[in-house]
Amino acid sequence: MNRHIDEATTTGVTFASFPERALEQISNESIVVFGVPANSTLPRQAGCANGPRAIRQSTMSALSCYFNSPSKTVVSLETGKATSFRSDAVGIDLGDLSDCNELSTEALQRIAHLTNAVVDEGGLPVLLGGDGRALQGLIEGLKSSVAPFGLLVISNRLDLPSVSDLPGVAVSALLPADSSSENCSLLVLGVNGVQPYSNMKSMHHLHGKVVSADEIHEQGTQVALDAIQQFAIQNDRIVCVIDAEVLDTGHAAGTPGLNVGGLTPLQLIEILSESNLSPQLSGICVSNVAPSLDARGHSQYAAAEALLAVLGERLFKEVPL
Amino acid sequence: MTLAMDTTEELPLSMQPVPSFFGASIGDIEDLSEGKIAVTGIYCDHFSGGKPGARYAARQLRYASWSSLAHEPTPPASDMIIDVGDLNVFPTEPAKTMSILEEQSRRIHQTGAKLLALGGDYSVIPALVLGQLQATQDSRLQIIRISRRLDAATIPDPRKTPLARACATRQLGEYCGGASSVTLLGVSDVTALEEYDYFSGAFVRSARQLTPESDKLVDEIVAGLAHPNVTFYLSVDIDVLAWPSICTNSPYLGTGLTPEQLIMLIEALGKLPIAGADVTGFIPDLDVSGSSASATVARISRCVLEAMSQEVSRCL
Amino acid sequence: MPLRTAPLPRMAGHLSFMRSNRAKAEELQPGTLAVIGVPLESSESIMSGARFSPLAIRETSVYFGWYANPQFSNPTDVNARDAIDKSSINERLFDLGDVPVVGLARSEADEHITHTIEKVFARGATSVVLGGDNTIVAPIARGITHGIGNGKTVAFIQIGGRMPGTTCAKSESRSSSVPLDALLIDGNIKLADTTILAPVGHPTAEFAQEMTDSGAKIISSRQLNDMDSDAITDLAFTLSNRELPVIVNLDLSSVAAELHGMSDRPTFDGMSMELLQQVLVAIGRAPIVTLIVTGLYPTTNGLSIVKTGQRLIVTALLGYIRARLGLFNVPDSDTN
Repeated sequence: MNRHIDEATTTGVTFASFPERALEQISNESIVVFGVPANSTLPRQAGCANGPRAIRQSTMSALSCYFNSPSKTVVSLETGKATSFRSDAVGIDLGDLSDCNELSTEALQRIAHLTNAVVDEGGLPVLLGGDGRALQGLIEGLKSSVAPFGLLVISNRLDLPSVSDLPGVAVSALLPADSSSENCSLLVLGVNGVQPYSNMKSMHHLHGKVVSADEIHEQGTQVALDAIQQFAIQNDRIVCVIDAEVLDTGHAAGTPGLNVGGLTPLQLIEILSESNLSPQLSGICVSNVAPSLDARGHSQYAAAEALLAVLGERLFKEVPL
Repeated sequence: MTLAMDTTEELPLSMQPVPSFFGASIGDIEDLSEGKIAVTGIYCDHFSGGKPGARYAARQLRYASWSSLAHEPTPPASDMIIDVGDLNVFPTEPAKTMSILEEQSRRIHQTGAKLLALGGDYSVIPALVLGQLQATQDSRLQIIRISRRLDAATIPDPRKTPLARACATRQLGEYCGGASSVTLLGVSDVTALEEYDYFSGAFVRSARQLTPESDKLVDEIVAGLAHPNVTFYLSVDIDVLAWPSICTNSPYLGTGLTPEQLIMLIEALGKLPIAGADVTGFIPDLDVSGSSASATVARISRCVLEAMSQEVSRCL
Repeated sequence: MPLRTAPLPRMAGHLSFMRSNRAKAEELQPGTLAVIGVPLESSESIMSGARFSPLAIRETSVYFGWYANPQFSNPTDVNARDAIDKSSINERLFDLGDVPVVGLARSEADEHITHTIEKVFARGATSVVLGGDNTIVAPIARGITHGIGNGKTVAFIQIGGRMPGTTCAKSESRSSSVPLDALLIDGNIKLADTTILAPVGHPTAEFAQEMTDSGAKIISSRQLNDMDSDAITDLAFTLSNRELPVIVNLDLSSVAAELHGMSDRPTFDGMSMELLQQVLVAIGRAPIVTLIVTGLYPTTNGLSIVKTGQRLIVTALLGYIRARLGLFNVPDSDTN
């Protein structure tokens, strides 16, 4: 199979120190990380092409307290619980997809093809973006490989904006509508601001649910956790999308678009830490991280912490002290 | 708890003090006397319109003198140089600012010391010169103004607009006995006719007319003096520079002097007896790490200081 | 009569810390507080610019030089609805300038720092050291231990910053950029005489056990939030009551990242401004020998947030200085 992966794309830093390997070396249940360094295009700001590298570096920074421990175990000061980085965690980093600085139909097809190949080998695909449109490729690849899944999107919008020559598309349009099912197969958390009515309406076909950023601010993260719990009951398999644009620009400015009133990094991390989705995951997409737009480095760091939180049990386990 | 060491033992300890101009010692009026040069900052740029920011020049020039931030080794300042801090100003009250600057300048000159004012806007300089004249009663003070502009507009009603850059040089001329008391160097080739007419009897040289042979220029200036025994006030405006990385209140036109030419000019003028000076018109970048622009203007300011010091050395 | 008879605009003039008087170490006495800059950083952090922190903090601190400004004759603490006693700050707060470390080899720079702190400590004065990154903590601690001699150690309170993975690893595999590691390697502290507040990240299980075994404490920012000021003050007094000089390292990483954006390690659940002030005022009531401020990178892009971070640190330091000089009417904090 043609991998379309650039050589030495990770410049020495891989996700969570996973070895950089080829597709053929994927084992069952392994976490397979690959980057899609695609830039957003006007009217959104460019900068996402450096997202995958920044997320990898930030992940290493976030895991440093584990790797500093001889037993890779840390203790939570609040709860007293000890958590270890699993020595049996299997993962590989495929590197970044080549020639995808601008997303196109062909690039989305290559993403889909790669995702398909990962799933066929038994791996869990984790896409590091790049422009959020890359999600479309991931979903296409998963649709042909796995059982029906629910889509959990943590984003400030209900659509994937236009990029290059690709027109915008509603998130709900990514999933097939199953008129026979009453299950909610689309949950969007953190939506903020004015959204097109057509996007809201299209969610009804999927029995979709929205929890807005304002609701989370007013009622706390529990409202999101309750929605996730219900969602997890109704969907055996879940694809999780972490769109960095869900974060408030004042906290994390490193995204192609602006979001005033979005979630704080702490809210995002708390929601994913406590949702325990790891056993049901079929795929993960982290997108819209543009590190050059955030001199403070908070955006990529928040995205990295969120990704580690959602991977949960696949990477970490509680151990007795 | 007990201390192991004898507290009376004096250990050699050197500290880098807070930044001062050229690393000079910091003092106040009681530290000034005949033979000293008081270097002061002007935190004021509100009266000329245009781009603000010159008020930060003094601070950035102090930083540029600091070993942590200087772009070249800085020789230690002479004991003759005292950084007396920034003068009092009232940024929203021009008349009050003029009055207090005049008073402070007079008090400094009354000690016998000279005054070098750095930073701020040219519009406040007439107040400093007036204070100097009141203190020294010098009826033969000549002004050497290095700037691309003439600033010789008609002086408006001082009660309404007491400080305006556009007429500041004319104001200086009036203080010192007329247009013939002013020497203008580095002016642009294009200037208002009325302003040019005012200075028709003065010694005026544009930037292009300034030749590399600065010694001859000094001879020409001296030859044109009505009286042989005069003292000079040197006013340097950074807008005379044709240097895009150095921001001034006048737009960059690409004509003017290079920093090297300006330094050579000032060194040549150092042969004249300079009783007071200023360097204004520099709008610095405010990045805390300093910048080469500040270092360049600091170098120019040091050159002015050395020109004044030569006069002090001759007098001592 | 001095040259200036009117107040200066805020950013004008010589920018000493809070417009305090400049002094030399020889002029210090017990009961005085010296501010010293150490413009030094290593190359370990991914950010650079910590060496400009002393300058940046001084620039920002002039906004608080009100006590030196006759225009503000009756400054009031709005929260306490009480006048601020500024009667003695002028005579007790001094800016010594910066330790001259520019252009020196690292070992030589460390010696200068040690020597300066030793001299200030010998005068009986307390100090606030404006760093620099946290590699300056070790030479400062050496200055204190040289001052007391007899092989005595110091007590250490670390606010923010990273923790060692374990203190049992060989010294060559440990990092001098983790202050606690550096101090333990030097032998200047004992783990039992350490308290860590609001650290970055979680402690490793090994280190948490070592701290517990030695009787030392690690307290997260959330736990600090639940403590009252007296309990926080007791943490410092517990150490000072052991007849050990107490040094405190305040690293900006202890503060919630969105408030400053200037630390090389964002902490989303860090201390709020209010909590930081509370902690510093509480600690300031104890006889702290030196407070070392580190982890500030003022050359980070983004003017407003950078300046906000500087203002945050200075505002917090103001409370510490007032507490340390005994200006909060607390009977047990009148002396050093």
